[in-house]
Amino acid sequence: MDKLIETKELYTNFYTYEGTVRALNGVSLSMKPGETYGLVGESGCGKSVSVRSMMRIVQSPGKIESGQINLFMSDKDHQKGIDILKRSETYMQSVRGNSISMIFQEASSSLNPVLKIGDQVGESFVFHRHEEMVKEAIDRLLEKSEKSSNGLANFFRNISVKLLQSELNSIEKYDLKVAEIDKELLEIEDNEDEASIARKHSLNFWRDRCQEYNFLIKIQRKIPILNAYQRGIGKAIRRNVLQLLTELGIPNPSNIIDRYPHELSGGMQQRIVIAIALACHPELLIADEPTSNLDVTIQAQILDMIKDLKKTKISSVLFITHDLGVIAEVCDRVSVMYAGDVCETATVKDLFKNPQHPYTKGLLNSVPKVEQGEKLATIPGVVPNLVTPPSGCRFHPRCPYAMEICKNEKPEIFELNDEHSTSCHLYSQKEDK
Amino acid sequence: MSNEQIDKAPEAIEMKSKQHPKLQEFLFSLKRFLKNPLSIIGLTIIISFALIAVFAPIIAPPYKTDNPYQIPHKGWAQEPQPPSVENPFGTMPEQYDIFYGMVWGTRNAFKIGFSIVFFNLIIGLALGTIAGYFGGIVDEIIMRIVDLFYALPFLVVAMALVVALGRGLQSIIIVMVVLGWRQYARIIRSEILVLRDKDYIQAARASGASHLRVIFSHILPNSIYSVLIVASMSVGTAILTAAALSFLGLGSGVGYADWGQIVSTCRNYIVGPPGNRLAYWFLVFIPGFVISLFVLGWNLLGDAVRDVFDPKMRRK
Amino acid sequence: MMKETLIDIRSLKKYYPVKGGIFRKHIADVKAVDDIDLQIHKGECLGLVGESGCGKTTLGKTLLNIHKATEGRIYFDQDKNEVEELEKLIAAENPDNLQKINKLRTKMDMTQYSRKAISELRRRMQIVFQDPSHSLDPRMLVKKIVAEPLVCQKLLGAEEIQVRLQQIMETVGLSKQHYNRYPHEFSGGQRQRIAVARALTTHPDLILMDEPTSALDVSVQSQILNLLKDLQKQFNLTYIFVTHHLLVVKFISDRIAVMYLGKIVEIGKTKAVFENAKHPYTKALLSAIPVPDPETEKERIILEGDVPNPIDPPNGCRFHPRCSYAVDICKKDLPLMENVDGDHSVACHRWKEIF
Ligand SMILES: Nc1ncnc2c1ncn2[C@@H]1O[C@H](COP(=O)(O)OP(=O)(O)OP(=O)(O)O)[C@@H](O)[C@H]1O
Ligand SMILES: Nc1ncnc2c1ncn2[C@@H]1O[C@H](COP(=O)(O)OP(=O)(O)OP(=O)(O)O)[C@@H](O)[C@H]1O
Ligand code: SF4
Ligand SMILES: [Mg+2]
Ligand SMILES: [Mg+2]
Repeated sequence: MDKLIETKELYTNFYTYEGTVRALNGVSLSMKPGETYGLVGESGCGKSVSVRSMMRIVQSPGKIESGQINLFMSDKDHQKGIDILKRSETYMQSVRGNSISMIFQEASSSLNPVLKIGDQVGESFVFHRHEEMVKEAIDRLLEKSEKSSNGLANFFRNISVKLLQSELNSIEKYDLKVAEIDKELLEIEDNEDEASIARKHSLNFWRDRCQEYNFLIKIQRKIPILNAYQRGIGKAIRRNVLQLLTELGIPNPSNIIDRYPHELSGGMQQRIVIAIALACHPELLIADEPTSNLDVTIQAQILDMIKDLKKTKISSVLFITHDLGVIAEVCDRVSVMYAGDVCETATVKDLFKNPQHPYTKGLLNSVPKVEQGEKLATIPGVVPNLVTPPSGCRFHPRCPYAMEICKNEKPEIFELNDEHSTSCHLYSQKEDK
Repeated sequence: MSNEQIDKAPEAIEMKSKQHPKLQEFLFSLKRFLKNPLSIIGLTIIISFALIAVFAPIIAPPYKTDNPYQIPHKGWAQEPQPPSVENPFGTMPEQYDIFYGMVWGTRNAFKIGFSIVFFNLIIGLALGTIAGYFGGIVDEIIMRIVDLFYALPFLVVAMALVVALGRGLQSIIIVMVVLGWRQYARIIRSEILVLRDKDYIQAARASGASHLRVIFSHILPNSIYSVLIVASMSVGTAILTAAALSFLGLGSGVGYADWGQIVSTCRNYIVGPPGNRLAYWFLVFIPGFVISLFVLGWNLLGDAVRDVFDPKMRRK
Repeated sequence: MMKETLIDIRSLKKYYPVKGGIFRKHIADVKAVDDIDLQIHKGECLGLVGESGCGKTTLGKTLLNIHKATEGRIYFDQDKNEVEELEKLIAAENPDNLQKINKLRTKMDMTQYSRKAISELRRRMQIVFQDPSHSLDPRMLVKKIVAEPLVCQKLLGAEEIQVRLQQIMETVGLSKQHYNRYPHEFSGGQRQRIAVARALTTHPDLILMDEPTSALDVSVQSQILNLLKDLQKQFNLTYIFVTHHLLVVKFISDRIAVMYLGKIVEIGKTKAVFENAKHPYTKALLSAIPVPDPETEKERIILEGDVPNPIDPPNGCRFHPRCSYAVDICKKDLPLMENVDGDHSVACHRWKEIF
């Protein structure tokens, strides 16, 4: 089966004053390339922690205890994964910008209040698409010097082109090396003999060194006057930012890029955040409740935009929300989470029509619907405290079907069919009989 | 699912014990406090000083019971004498007993520290609360007054006031209250400005609570901790400043059992005669050490109090 | 049957001054509530919906006199005929009547009440806030929090308070063991129950619910919504239910008022508004609800742009910059409330033509 990213039995804990918060309790998810995958659940159930673990950016008292996170992006056929928990931080940095981007719930807090919008979007180009920007700058310069006949100006242009070229060469050289190393790493990924492990270590080490930028280039950029050649890159970035904002349908982009975040409305800020995330052409966009703080009409605008982008720019989206309505609207496949467990995974239609896990059923019944009777169905009880989570199936204290075994054993994932799986003892028991 | 399930709220999240919540809260704080070795050291230092202050009449029996703060002295000889059996810490010029002075000075130190912080708190809290809670023109006036006090140069005003009131510890305390409350007023006001718009304050107003009730049962309990933290940290500083003022000669007369005054009396003998520069080490070292230890104790204690009460350092 | 009116609001305005410059001069107003007329009947639940910042909370709090109204009249439980008479006098704008008007207003109009009269009214009006973790004093025990309105207003003796406390706590589904705890020891849903209990202690007539379920989990939200609905029946309460969640409003309200930028643009029976919306904004709002059902394919109306700044609202119809039906008259003239049928009214120049 084609995969994009998967987690296997992921456990993440937070070590706080009050005790250990067992936030993830063996989370297994698997995303296919090209789909919009939804992660839904109530507040505190571990949605954000799951994706933060996937990006390896869990905040401070938190720690990924065990499990695997396999990334299938360096393999073209999406068959062979790399366990990113075993990779270095530098490797993760390159993954984070280049293959996966993430947008957070609070748009305003992920924008820097003292930088202009244009600079913030541009920064993303500097970090992740430097090579393209340099190339573009060189092309422009060459074009100009062909047209103009001013000898002096052309002389300076030539110097700039030379310097840019040297920068480009060094980037390309290192990129090639990294690609080579990656290939070899992928081949020996699953080998566990001593020689391979040693080889992996040294390869990882060299990969990290390659990503740290060429020393000479760094100096070259700092020399006053000489570093004026960098202006070409700046212009290229600005052009690209404008183009990106226009593509995203943001009205009046040339005005927007000179403004500060606080001068924009919440919806506009969220769009800028999306623009920043898209600047590096990620393969996967993770959206952590991108519309939860927005009004319905603005939310509709943003959802519309994400749906459009799905057709044109990004291949896969991992969409987190607590609103079942939003899930129904944008996602292809969904996982429902409860208190650190994944209860049920299914296609959206299947999940809403044919929910299997008692929690999913309860949840679907308890949201007010368009045609609503006198009373809402409820799930009795409260969401558990994850410092002292219930034993066995974490839902058992609230589950109307709970059996003896639910108190003692954590249910396995049970595959109902290819597309639908649930972890509940009701189904594993049926199987036994 | 039946209606019964709907209408009964589920049991509260598990409770660790059945104690009264106030007691539980207190025990929790105490545990946090006792876990920190520095706070234990601070507490030990302060308790030792407190014991000395309480048992001063036994440790160093006064010879003049009506005025125990007067340090006894034998003779008028100028030259300080090094520690001996009779005078364990040595003597000052005019043969005042340093040991006696240090013991009774401890009492004085507590008196000074507590009264300064206490009066600062009262004035600062009252004005800061009024300014923060009522806002508008009242706030404007009070805060301009605070600004005015911030603009006063400390030493100049201190000198002027002491001249006007006459030398002595009372004057020093008054000076430090006059110039000290401004800080508390600012802190409490900024706390209250944040609290004032909180929903639960509005809820209290909406249920018909009077201003006084809102202030005393909602605003102060939620804002006073930050001020108490500052207060506990500034007992030490207050004593240090008072000692400095005494050293400058604004304190009480020679022979009075006050640490700052002892150092002040000895200042001519800090450096010994040529050839033996360290001859009078005990004059500087002993009072200096005691004052430092006392201030250190309060600072450690203040830090510990902050760790225990500061909501940012507690729980989530 | 004519329903009895509990609250009658006439031309209510609430402006927040904006201060700026070095001398903090008054430079502009946030027109949070701008000229609203509204009647709330006894025993009904009026849903107040609209986008963030349109003035829902402000309207509610002005009604409860938590904020002082800038202009306008609020009649709380007054005789209908007397109110009409007074309104006529005011409308006549005859300077000779001024004294009479003022006298009548101090008697009937809540905005003119003395402090004492208002504090007596407090018993009859209560409020439940959005986020229970902010609306309960973190350093007070639950029993004190719930009894506070009674203690403040000195309505009952100490023993009676205990009895009342027990009754109320039982009605909202909390038991005795919960009394001696602090709010932080409860879950979100339980905290909201406590807040509801506090609002109920004085047996009020009117409760303002300011987004009471927005901060709660979906599975707990339904518990609270059911509870609120039951309580309304049990105590014959009148609710003003502020929210931006339209499906919640549909579930709980009898009537809906849709607000846009400080004004009510459409009001009517819940069913009528949902099925037969007349205002373009209501239409767009309804179509934007994400429906938890992947099968429904809806025609979605995506509004362009954001809600304008209430400091400087657009001329004419406030919705015209975002409205796809706007014509010249919309830019110039403010549309008045027009009756569609029965209870249903709408403020739009073109409602007859467009839907
Ligand atoms: N920094 C942290 N320190 C301590 N505990 C944390 C921290 N971050 C998350 N947790 C705990 O981990 C659990 C899962 O949190 P998470 O943020 O993933 O929830 P969520 O599903 O994203 O909820 P929401 O819908 O509110 O965003 C919660 O119980 C929370 O208390
Ligand atoms: N105390 C205040 N001072 C100044 N402006 C205020 C104040 N309270 C509210 N406003 C402004 O008045 C307008 C209406 O605010 P209000 O809180 O009534 O909106 P709302 O409809 O309740 O929105 P939300 O759904 O976000 O709660 C907003 O523009 C807001 O910025
Ligand atoms: S009055 Fe005009 S602008 Fe306003 S809603 Fe109606 S059609 Fe649109
Ligand atoms: Mg989250
Ligand atoms: Mg509001």
